[in-house]
Order: sequence, then C-alpha cells, then structure tokens
Amino acid sequence: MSEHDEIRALLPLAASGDLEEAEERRVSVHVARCAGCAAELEQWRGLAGDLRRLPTPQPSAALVARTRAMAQAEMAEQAEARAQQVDLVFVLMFCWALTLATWLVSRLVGGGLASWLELFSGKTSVWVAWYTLAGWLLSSVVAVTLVGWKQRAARRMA
Amino acid sequence: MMGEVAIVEEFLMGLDAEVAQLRRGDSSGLAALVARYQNRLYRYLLRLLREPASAEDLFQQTWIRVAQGIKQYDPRRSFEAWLFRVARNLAIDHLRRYRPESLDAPLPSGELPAGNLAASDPGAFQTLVAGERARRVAHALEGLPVIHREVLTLRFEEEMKLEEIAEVLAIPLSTVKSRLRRALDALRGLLLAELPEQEWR
Repeated sequence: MSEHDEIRALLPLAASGDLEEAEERRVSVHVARCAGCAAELEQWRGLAGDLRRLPTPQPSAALVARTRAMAQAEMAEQAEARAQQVDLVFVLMFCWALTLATWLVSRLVGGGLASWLELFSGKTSVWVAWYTLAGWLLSSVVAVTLVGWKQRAARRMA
Repeated sequence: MMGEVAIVEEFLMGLDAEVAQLRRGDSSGLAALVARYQNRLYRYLLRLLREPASAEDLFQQTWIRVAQGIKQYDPRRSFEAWLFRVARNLAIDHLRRYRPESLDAPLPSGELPAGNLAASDPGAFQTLVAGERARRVAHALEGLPVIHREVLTLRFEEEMKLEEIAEVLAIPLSTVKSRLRRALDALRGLLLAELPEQEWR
C-alpha cells in the first residue's frame, strides 16, 4: 500500500479526532501537500459534523413519568423483599437465642422443667428435642408478633 | 476553557451523588438519573431499534434493570458506559428475538424505514436550516447494519471516547476503531449513492 493510500485509510478517523498523535502528524504532513486528500478530509469532517448535528428525538413526558413510576415501584418492591429477609433472619436468631438461653437457665436453676422432661422421657436426646421444639414454638409466637408490630408501624409511616 | 472544566466537574459530582443515592435505595436518585439521561438513552435506543414503539418499551425496561441491578454496578467505572451497556444488551436481545437476521446485515436493499431516526417531532426537524441534508444523513444511517449505527451514534451523538465505546460494546479498542472507520465508509457510500459527490460536499 502506498503512502497516499495509507493516509486515505486514516482520513475517516482523522475527521472524527480518533487518531494516535503520530498518525495525526502523518496525516497533517500529507494533507498539506496533497490537494485530493485535503478535499477528502474536508468531506469526512463535513460528514462527522452532520452526524453530530442530527436532531435528537425526545421521549414523551408520559413515557418518562411512566418509566420513573415503574422503576421506583421496582425499588420499593426490592426494599420490601430485603426487609422481609431481615425479618426472617431476626425470627430465626431470636428463636435459637431464646431456646438456648432458657435451656441454660433451666439447667442452672436445676430441676424444674428440664428434670421433668428428663423424667418424662428418660433419654437426654429426646428431652433436648422436646425442649427445643417447645422453645421454638414459644419464641416463634413472640417473634412473629414483634415482626407484625414492626410491619404495621412501617405501613403507618408510609 | 476553565469554565468548561468547571461545568464538567459539576456534572460529574452531581452524577456521582445521584448514583450514590440510588445505590442507597433512595428513589430520588433514580428520578434524577432518568431526567439526566432520558433524551440520550431514548435516542440511542431509537437509533438501534429504528421503531419508536420498541424504543419506548426498552427505555422502560432499561430503567427497571438499572433499579434492579444498581448494586452490581462498580462505582469506580463509568456509570454512563454501564447504563448504555444495559440498554444495548436489551436492544440486542430484542433484535435477535424479533428480527433474527444477522446484526451486521443492512436492511434489504431499497427498503428503509420511514424516517424514524430523523426526529419524533417533524416540526422541530423542519426548523433546521440544513434540514434536507440532515434528513438524508438520518435516512442513510437507518440503512446501515446495527453494529455500524451504534458505533456512529455513540461516537458522534453521545460523544463518547473510543475507550468508553469499547466498554459499552464489550469489544477491544482496536475493534472499535476499525468498526468506526467501516461505519463511516459505509455511511458515506450510501450518501454518495444517493447524491453525486459534488452535490454532497
């Protein structure tokens, strides 16, 4: 490929301002002494200018308002889903914490419910299972009530 | 020059604040971003899809995706490039689904859509001094394959740098350059086919 052809291939990007510095210098030197390339470069620049000046179609105000409302509703839904996840984690942790805490207390106090369960089943693993189940049931009721209060308060705020 | 730099800095600070708001789940950030990008994003989608109805549909879907996926956006990168990439992915999926022809294929010869690219408001369009020339360029642009239309609109209308275009299109910089050159060549070819060269200058 001759120097002239190489430069001609660079002209579109020279017009859009996207050449490397060295390429730009080569184009400038060549164009200064080649009338054909100078005229073609002007034509490319004209085309680049035409593209920059194309009228901008605009979305209707109704479309923008509808889009904003839909995207914001999506965000609210996501926030609600996140809050529900947090509540679920809270319920799980609360149930375990309450069960373990009351178990420790009952063992420390000695006798009471723990020894009654032990007597009742005669097997440690079984009474632990009974105790955990009872603890979970009790703490679930408390946790669900707390979450319910929290959600009602959030709805009142909204 | 100093004034321009100050305006750009102000623009970027405002943009960063809006993106941060959105990432915190504050919907006012989303409203501000929609207002900031509504015209540019709609224009980009219209250039890609050529049909206002599809562009409107994907305009909505893009912002819903933004609301859903803002946590995945890396704030160290350009929000603009990320936004246009979300829109582009939706547009390409749409084109593949509804127009299964190759994405680098032009329209069948002689068939051009009826001037959707020029402007949605014909009154505004006609007020342009060089209206006829703009109409011809817009018409020729519509006749190009989507991969050429998108690189031209990102470079000349969105005024993105080649690096940003590479990020939007997820292609190497060298490919952006060669694609841009080929797109300009193809556009010029279409215009010259319509008009004698002397008349075009």
